[in-house]
Amino acid sequence: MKRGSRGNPAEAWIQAFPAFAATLGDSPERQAQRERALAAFGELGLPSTRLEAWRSTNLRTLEKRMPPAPTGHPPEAALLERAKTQIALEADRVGKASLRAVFIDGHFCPSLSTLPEGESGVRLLSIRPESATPVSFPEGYGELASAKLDAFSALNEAFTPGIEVLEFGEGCELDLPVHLIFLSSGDGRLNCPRLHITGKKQSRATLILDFLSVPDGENLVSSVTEIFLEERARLDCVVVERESDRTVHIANLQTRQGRDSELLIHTLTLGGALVRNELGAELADLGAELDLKGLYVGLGDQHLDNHTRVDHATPRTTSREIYKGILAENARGVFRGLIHVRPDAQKIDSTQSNMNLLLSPGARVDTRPQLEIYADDVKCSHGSTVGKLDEEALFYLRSRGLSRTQARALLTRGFVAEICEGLPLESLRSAMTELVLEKLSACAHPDEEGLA
Amino acid sequence: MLDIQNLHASAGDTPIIKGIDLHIGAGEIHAIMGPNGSGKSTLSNILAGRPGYSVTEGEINYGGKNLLAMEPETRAREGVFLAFQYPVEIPGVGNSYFLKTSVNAIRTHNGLDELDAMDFLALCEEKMKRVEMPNDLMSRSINEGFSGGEKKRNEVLQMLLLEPKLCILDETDSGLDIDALRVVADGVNSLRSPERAMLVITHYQRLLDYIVPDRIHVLADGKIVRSGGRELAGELEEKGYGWIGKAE
Amino acid sequence: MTSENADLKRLAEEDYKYGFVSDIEADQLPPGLSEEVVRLISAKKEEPDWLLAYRLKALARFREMLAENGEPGWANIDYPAIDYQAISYYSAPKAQVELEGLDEVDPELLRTYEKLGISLQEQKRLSGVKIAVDAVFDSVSVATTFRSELEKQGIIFCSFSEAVKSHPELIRKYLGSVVPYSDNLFACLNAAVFSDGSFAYIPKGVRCPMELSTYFRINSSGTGQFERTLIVADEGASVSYLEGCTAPMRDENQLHAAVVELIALDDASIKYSTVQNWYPGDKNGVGGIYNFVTKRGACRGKRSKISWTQVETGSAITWKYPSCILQGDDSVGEFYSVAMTNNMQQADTGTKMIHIGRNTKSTIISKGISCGRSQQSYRGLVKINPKAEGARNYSQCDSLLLGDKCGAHTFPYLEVENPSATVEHEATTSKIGEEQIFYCLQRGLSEEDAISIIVNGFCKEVLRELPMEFAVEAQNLLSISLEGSVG
Ligand SMILES: Nc1ncnc2c1ncn2[C@@H]1O[C@H](COP(=O)(O)OP(=O)(O)O)[C@@H](O)[C@H]1O
Ligand SMILES: [Mg+2]
Repeated sequence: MKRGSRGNPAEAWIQAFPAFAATLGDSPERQAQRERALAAFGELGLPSTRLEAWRSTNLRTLEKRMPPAPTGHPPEAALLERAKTQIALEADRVGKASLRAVFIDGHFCPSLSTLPEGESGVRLLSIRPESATPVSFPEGYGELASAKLDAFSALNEAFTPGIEVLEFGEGCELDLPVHLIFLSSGDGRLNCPRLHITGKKQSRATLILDFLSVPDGENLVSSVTEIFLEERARLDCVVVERESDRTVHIANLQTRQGRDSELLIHTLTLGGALVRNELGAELADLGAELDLKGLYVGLGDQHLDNHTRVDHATPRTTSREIYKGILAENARGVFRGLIHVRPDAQKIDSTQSNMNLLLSPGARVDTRPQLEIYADDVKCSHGSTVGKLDEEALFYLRSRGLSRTQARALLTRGFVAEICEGLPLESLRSAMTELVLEKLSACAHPDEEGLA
Repeated sequence: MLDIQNLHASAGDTPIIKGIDLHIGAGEIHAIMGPNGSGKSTLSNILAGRPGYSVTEGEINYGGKNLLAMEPETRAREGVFLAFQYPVEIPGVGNSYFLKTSVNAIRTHNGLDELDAMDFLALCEEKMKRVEMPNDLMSRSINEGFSGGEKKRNEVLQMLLLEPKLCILDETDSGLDIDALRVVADGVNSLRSPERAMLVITHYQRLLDYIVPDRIHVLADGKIVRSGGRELAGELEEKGYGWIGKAE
Repeated sequence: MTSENADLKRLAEEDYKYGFVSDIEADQLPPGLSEEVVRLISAKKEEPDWLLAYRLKALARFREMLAENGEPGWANIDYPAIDYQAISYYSAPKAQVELEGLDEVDPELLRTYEKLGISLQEQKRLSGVKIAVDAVFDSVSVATTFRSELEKQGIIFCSFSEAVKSHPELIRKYLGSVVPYSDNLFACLNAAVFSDGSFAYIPKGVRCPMELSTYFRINSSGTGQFERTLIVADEGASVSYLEGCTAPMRDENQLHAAVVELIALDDASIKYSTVQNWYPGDKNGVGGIYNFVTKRGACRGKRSKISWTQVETGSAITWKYPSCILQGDDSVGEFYSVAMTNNMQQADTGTKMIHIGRNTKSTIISKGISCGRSQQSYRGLVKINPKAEGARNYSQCDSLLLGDKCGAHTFPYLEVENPSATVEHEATTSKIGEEQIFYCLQRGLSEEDAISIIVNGFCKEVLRELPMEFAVEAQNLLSISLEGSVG
């Protein structure tokens, strides 16, 4: 057993694997790949807090109640029917899309999806036995989310029902966003959606990844997304996590960027009991630019953990990163952001900041911005702050007639504006701001002292 | 309209205001002058209800009500306006959004209908011309990146929009060039009316050339040490604050 | 960096100035760590039983820890496992028996300290300023100056061994109260085998009239140095304490595992300054001191203050985190650090600020300069406990890179469990400014002077915290350590 892992509480998953695999009817090669991944997961085990990367996030709760392995069966008609209204609502929030696809427990649901007709530049294909046009294995698959090194990537590879391959064709410029909705059915089982995205040369697109669950559903979601951007490609990607407060979501998003490509990732974490966002970005060729923005808003007992790792692997690459957190009641926020500059990666420009608002006595936050720099011609900086709403500003607003609640809401709106205003679509900007404020309005603010 | 009786106040354990009596009737303009650190800002902060100060003795009556018992926003809605000496910057909060919220909070309090976006914009545009404020300041965050002069103009703009009953200006003139000073003074003078009282705090006599007060009070070490008509300003200008102590 | 710096490169080759070996006869234990060795050290010092028992407990824990986990693995440093049996745990200059006065100190020893620029002759004051010095040579304290003058005010300043005899109640009360023997592997080892060190006690309401200082010197080969410093400032007392260190050039790696404990009671303040210049090893990383030190201060009392200032230029490997436990309400912790690494040096250093009391405040200013093929990390923890209402922290960590083969890393940990706290951390890493250098050159400075003033300017916020005498020494040290770094 490796140091830092604890036993193997996932024995049940390993036991259940043959039955799961049998329902899928994969090719022997794919089957072997899954088995290798499962073996790797068995080796690695669930990470423990003794590992530096998991210092602040304890998965013991998970261990106590391990969700059963998935069955491999696609969702039943009744479930599809029930999901319809929820999906419609989410579709409305975003508005028109050039492609909208819905996945329930990782299974593609054609009846709920709208795929483009004719040549639009974007393609969505599934690598799964039942898909009509079997595609060859995508290039680069598994290179960023390694099933050998990362326990949850291994778990995902073993148990994902299929690999969804999204491709933005060379030179394509999509006017409307691509909207992918990942719904967890709340059947209490392990759920492993897998996504492989390629932005071909000079493609430009906006992508929304919506992670939802049926209300009150219990889930363990282990999602893996790999994004590859080729030369001069641009992708504006929004990840929204709004699952039920009985959902544990380990979200692994890994990216690699080619020359002069531009990648923006916004990660908005509002829902979930425990959410861990593992975001790794490799700036692999000259001139690549990366912009990471994150917002996490925790109430109740939510535990929201963002781990980002920006790897400046080549010279002349740029990254900007801003993560903001609001924690109230007994919620806990974790941020760890590593900027890594490899030897000889000169002319690097990189900034990172993490700001946190603590609104209640029980709320807490751990933040660890990190710089690891092995080249000299660099400009790197990071900053972290933790505090409450600015008293000066609150008073200023109140002296202009705003109530305490109004003043708080306004300042909170101001705090999140930097993230929300940067979202790519007007519909998203207002929808997300409202969702954040709505969520926060549900939390009881401890009454601050009035005038002495 | 404003009646301050025997006011004593501290910040933390430090006494700062040490017995002030001041009566300002409707339609009057009073000026308070005094050296730095004499407690001018503290007095205006206490009137506006800023947390962090404790009134240890005395009373403040405003329009027949106990001012000290009111929350800061209630004071604002009841017509108390403070133009801050150092207006705070609030990143991320749009200036115009904020002003609209503020105007409507006060209108609602006074039983008026809220202004919709169009009406508000029209109102704003008119007042902005008055203070010669560039349009883009409205779309920026509150005071963020504003120059000193722009911040002060923004304060006066707010005053014009909110049409308060008691205007307190805390060194709104300092740091302004002569043109900006005239703009500020014009704004203030346009609000002069028999129903409105004003308390103009300044370090220099200069502002009082433009805003002519009915009474001038000199504050030193937390007490009013001299009161008089407008001729007092000239005297102060000539002799500085040094002689005040001795004159007592 | 580019090749325009040939001049500087030439100038660079100055040797480690303090690398000489003194020929002094030493009473040295054979290498090895055992219960017997611990008993021997304790017996040599004629220690009471409770202290021997403390040492033995520590030794047992050390063995357990080593067997369970080995050496601490989390720091960003790399070295072969230490053979604890190959080290001699005690070495003392032979002549040292119950000295009555300085006249009886081995003249060779006095010369050693003179060479280091430290005068043990009270009349020979450094730049006219009084500094009381406790000189620690290998394992033992050889002289403490200005004692009688200090005693008049009730200040106790003497070697640790002496304090064990003369003030056992104070030692027993405070030893291990800030750094428990089980704190970490090296603290454990120190607790088992510490040989000497300094003790200072400033009584209630007394402001210590002069700087107190300890000068550490490792001389003998094959030894380690394990000293222990304990400073207690009673209510309302204040003291400024300086610590300096050097060692001869040897191509072996010598272990220095010290423990420093500071205790400040109500309204007391302690300022602890270090200029650490242990032998860093040669250009290829052969030899040098492993500086694995545990330093921690407890602000026990209300409104107490502990301030650490360090200038670290020496040692092959540095592993140290001078920390403050802010227990008293309104207490203040400060950490000011300059660390410069060159050639193959490695440093993983920083601080911990643990906020427990209300309205506690801490400031961290860390400046790192990496040159050559060195690797340097800042590692710091700011922890705001749930009860620490109104706590504030500000941290600023800047790194300057000179040369493209070195590394600079920043690992802050901020853990906040109270919503009324304000915690701010900022860090930057950049190359030395070519425009700044050019500006200086254009104004007629040589390149090495330009770099030197830029580096000194970069460190200014920290250097100005040092007492005058030390500041000059520190600036010179920085310039010397810079040499050979550019080219
Ligand atoms: N919040 C506070 N805490 C402590 N002292 C304060 C505070 N506010 C003001 N003071 C002190 O009170 C005195 C008066 O300040 P202030 O009212 O700002 O004077 P002025 O506006 O006349 O220059 C000054 O000495 C100032 O330092
Ligand atoms: Mg003032």
